[in-house]
Amino acid sequence: MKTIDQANQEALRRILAGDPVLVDVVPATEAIPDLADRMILHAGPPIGWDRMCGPMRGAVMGIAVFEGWAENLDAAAKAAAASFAFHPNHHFGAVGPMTGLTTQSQPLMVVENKAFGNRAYCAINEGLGKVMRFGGNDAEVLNRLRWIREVLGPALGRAIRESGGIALKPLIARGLTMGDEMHQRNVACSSLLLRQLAPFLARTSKDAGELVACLDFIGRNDQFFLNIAMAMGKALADPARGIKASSVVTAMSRNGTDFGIRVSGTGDRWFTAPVEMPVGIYFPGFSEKDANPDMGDSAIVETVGLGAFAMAAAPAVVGYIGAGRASEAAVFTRSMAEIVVGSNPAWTIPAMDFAGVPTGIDIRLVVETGLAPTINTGIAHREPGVGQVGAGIVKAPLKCFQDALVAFAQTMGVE
Amino acid sequence: MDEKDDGASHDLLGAPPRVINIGLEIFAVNLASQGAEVAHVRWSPPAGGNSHLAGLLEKLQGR
Repeated sequence: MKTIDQANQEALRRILAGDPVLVDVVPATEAIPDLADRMILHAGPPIGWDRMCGPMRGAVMGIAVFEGWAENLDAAAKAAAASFAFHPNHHFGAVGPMTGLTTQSQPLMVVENKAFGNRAYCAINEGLGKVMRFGGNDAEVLNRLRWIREVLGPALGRAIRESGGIALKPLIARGLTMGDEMHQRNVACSSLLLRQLAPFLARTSKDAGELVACLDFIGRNDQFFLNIAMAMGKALADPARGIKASSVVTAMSRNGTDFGIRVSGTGDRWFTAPVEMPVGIYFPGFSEKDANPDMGDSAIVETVGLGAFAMAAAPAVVGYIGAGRASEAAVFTRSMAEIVVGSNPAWTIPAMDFAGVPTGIDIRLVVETGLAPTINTGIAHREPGVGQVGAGIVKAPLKCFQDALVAFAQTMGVE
Repeated sequence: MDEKDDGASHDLLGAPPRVINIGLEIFAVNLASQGAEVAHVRWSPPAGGNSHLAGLLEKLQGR
């Protein structure tokens, strides 16, 4: 076998060998000790305040008030331009959906990859509609974040520790057989998780009121599991970083302005291009005129074979995101199978005779075929403070993969 | 030209067209919309015809 193929098989082996377990919820400063005052981790490749899109700016202003770094949103905007430090979540072992902000006092869910010993982090999902990850920043949004910080986060942490950890690989395998693809449809996995956690929440809650509030919040949020799936994706993909001669993608991410990818054989360098606009379905009262270009670290789930790559498992989601007929769900999965190194025998799709989800995107195959990875996504309003306005699909820009191929070829001595 | 006729040419001219379309999908879509039996094969030149990238891919094949 040739060098690149061997290296790619090793990358695939590491992704497939991962054993991700949800082990805890802890304050962000405990998970990421380098997370300093007035430092904000965001989704996507690096970006400064000057190039941030509307919803990202809206979320930054909101989180600054939440953290007590500014008295109001106007003061927060001035402070953000002058004195905040911005870094990608990916540089600190974390991920975040949409705007994906991570700051000091937020509770982070901890997924440990037991096979390799690495950990990945993600904040707790806030629910749908007007939420900070979609750029929401009013009192309702901030009060919900405070409740998550002060009540839900600690309660979840106690319950998860009491449970001894929630093994995620089998849970996702079950979810795939129940119609989830783990990006825009997480209703099965959210329910399965709650079923496992509920006894431990009951055992460790401070009082009945807290227990009811936690169960109600999780139970009403079909996307609660998304953030866990993302931390799991990061925990699975990270051990595949830095394999010499491997052309496998280890991260795909967007900040609302740029789309970025990382490739195993080129280390932690980002290859970026302008992010594209999702195509999808809008909530009543909104249209594509309101939409912001795509954003979020959530494409880490496609990076490990879920989301649009597992669309065949989730025909119901095809209509929700406006991607065609439910009967065409398998077309997406078959198409993505053309640009990957292999498939995951632990995560199978009943409607495709239990074929494994396509896994390990090879930049050579993307460039050769012109087939860009498809990503299932939420759509944020382009103005700060509004929130989610729809859901759809988006293509990763081919330019990221073309630039990455040129750099990868150089590492192989090919000009 | 071989004059032997096994009936295939009559079938070709007399039967409804059965088409395999390679490349531009719009031809397949138009034929299908008129009721023709058509199978579309998605194909494009390697790297979308970008000779530099196609050259890199070819050289990397040996590595």
